[in-house]
This record gives sequence, C-alpha cells and structure tokens, in this order.
Amino acid sequence: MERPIYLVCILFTCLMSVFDHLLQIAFQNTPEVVQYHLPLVKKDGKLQASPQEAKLAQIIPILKSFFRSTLLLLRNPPSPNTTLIILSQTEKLIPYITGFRKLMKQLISSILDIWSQTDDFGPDGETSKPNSEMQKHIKMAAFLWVKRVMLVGDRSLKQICLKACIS
Amino acid sequence: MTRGRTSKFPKKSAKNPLGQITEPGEIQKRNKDKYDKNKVRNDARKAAARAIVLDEIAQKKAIEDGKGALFDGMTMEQFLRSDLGDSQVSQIQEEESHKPMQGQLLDGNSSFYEFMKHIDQDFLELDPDGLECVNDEDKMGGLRFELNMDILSIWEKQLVEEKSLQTTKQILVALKNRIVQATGQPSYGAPDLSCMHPIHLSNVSI
Repeated sequence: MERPIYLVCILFTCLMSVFDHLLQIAFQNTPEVVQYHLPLVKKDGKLQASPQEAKLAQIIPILKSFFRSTLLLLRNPPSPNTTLIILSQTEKLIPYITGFRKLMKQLISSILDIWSQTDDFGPDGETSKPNSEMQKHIKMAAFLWVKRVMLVGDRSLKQICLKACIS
Repeated sequence: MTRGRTSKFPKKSAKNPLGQITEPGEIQKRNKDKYDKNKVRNDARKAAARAIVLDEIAQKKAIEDGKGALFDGMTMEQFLRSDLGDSQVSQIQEEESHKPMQGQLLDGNSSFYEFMKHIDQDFLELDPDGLECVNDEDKMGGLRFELNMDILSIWEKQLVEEKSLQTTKQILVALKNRIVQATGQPSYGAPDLSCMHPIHLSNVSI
C-alpha cells in the first residue's frame, strides 16, 4: 500500500519544476527553522520574540529577505496554489516582524488587495468551479493573515490594518 | 660743592645695588637663547631631527609615486618574512631593465627593431606590468553554479535534519534572484513559471 504512494510522490517531484520545488522548500521550512532557533515567548498575553536573544541578529536579515521575496511574489503570483502556501506559511512568522512597520504596511496592503479580488469569470459569465473554490481558500487565508496581525500587533498596527481595510 | 651726590631723584641703584647689572625678567627671557650654554648642542639636535623628518617624508612620497627603491617602507623583519628571494629580486630587476632597453630599440636603431620583430616578437611585446592576470570572477567572490534538483534535495535535507541557518540563507538568496529574474521580464501579467520547461529553470545560475 505504501509503495504506490511513494512512487507517486517521486513522480510528482520529478514533474515539479525547480522553481516550484525551491518555493516549496523555502516557504515550508523557513518558518520551522526560525521558530526552532528563536522560539516565541508569551509576554503580557501576547506572543513575542525575545529581544535579548543573541540569534536575533542572525535571523533578522533572513526574515527581511524572506518577506521581501514574499512581497514580490504576492504582487506577481505564479499560481493560486503558490499564493495559498505563501499566505498560510508566512502567517506563522507575523510575531517576528511586527517591528518592521514599512514592511508590514506593504504586506498588509498587498494581502488586502488579494482578499478584495473578485472571482474569475469564464466565457459563459459563470465562475468556473475549481477557480472559485481556490479563490475562496485564498480569500480565507488572506483574512486570517490580517486577523493574526490584529491579534498580535500593537495599537498602531491595528490602525494600519483598519485604515487599509476601509480605503 | 657738596660731598656726595645729592639729587632730587635718587638713583634706582641706591635701592637695588644690582639693578644696573641685572636685567628685568622679560628681557632675560628674550635673551635666553643668546646666553644659553647648550645653544650649540640644541641647534645641532634640531637640525638633525629636521633632516630625518624630511628624509622620511621624501621616502614616503617616492613610494607613493612608485619611484622608490625595492625595499622602501620595509623593515628588516618584514623583508625577512617576505617571499622576495634572490631569484625574484633579479627577475624584477631584469623586468625593470627591459623597458628602457625596449625604448632604446624603438628610438634608436629601427632596423635592429625590425630584425628583433622577426626573431623574438615576445621580447618586444613583453609588458612586465601586465604579467599578473587578475581573474574577474575572483573579484566578485562567491561561486556560480546551476541550481538543480540534487542541490535542492541536499538543502531540504539540511533544513529538515539540521535546521541550518546557513542553508536557509542560501535558499533565500536563490529564491530572491530567481524571483527578480522572473519579475524583471517584460510583463504581460504575472509570468506563469509553473509551465516553464524544467530545463530552462534548471539552468538558473545563482
């Protein structure tokens, strides 16, 4: 029973392009690595990264690079599946980047743009079912991302989220 | 005539018998150099120090201009530690002597120059300054290699098992470069990278 699944996985990996594989590795493993080296600490009822950790200096450039790549990908999404992976995985690292205001602003505006996108209509004027399902998942992921920011962020971040929602 | 001198304005020397002989303090200071016993010795020392300083400045200038001698700016210890052996010194001296000879050939006997052209073109074309070849790739630093599935699998293994930060950095650099490459294309919307042929993507260099 396990052997056919194993063979399917190998076949799938072979069919996947190098770039897709690189995206998958980067977005699936980077949050785990960061959380392993810099675990979150609960302070005043909020999850935060401990600022006194020596590894913070090593991890900050990694986070900045990771989220800048994320920003570029969100503005030019390669595929709906990729967008979904990006949103779900980057949500885990939100507590680490609440201090980067400019980056947070740009991310929030990009994600709200994704959330506010309408469904793709086919030539008949009806939405194609797979597209609409995927779009729903993506909208949900974007909403959860912004919700996490509201829960974890401070007052100024909440203001930024609300202003971006209204505008 | 009265005995002794009587005057309305008594002389200062009367109060200070040594007033005519001793000078006031300011004048003493001014004439200190005149009456200094060690003046000659101090002057000699000053002149020697000035000469040493001027010599050092001239040496430094010569080194900066490239006109200094071979061992300028080098202490004995530095020279002994350096790899400049006798053979290299003689080689450098030969190279330095080559250029004026070449110049003489060009300026002087043109027929001999033509003759040398036929015999030994390399001698005429030798440029000692260009002997060191600098690798441009070394200047940029880093390795260039093609990204493929094998490398990705190695990285994935390192991330899963070792949680290596170094590997994470490498992956993010590769990702950033690939994204910039992709988004930098003339855009007609987002390029659909998933449908690109794997061969093109495997030839990506980092």
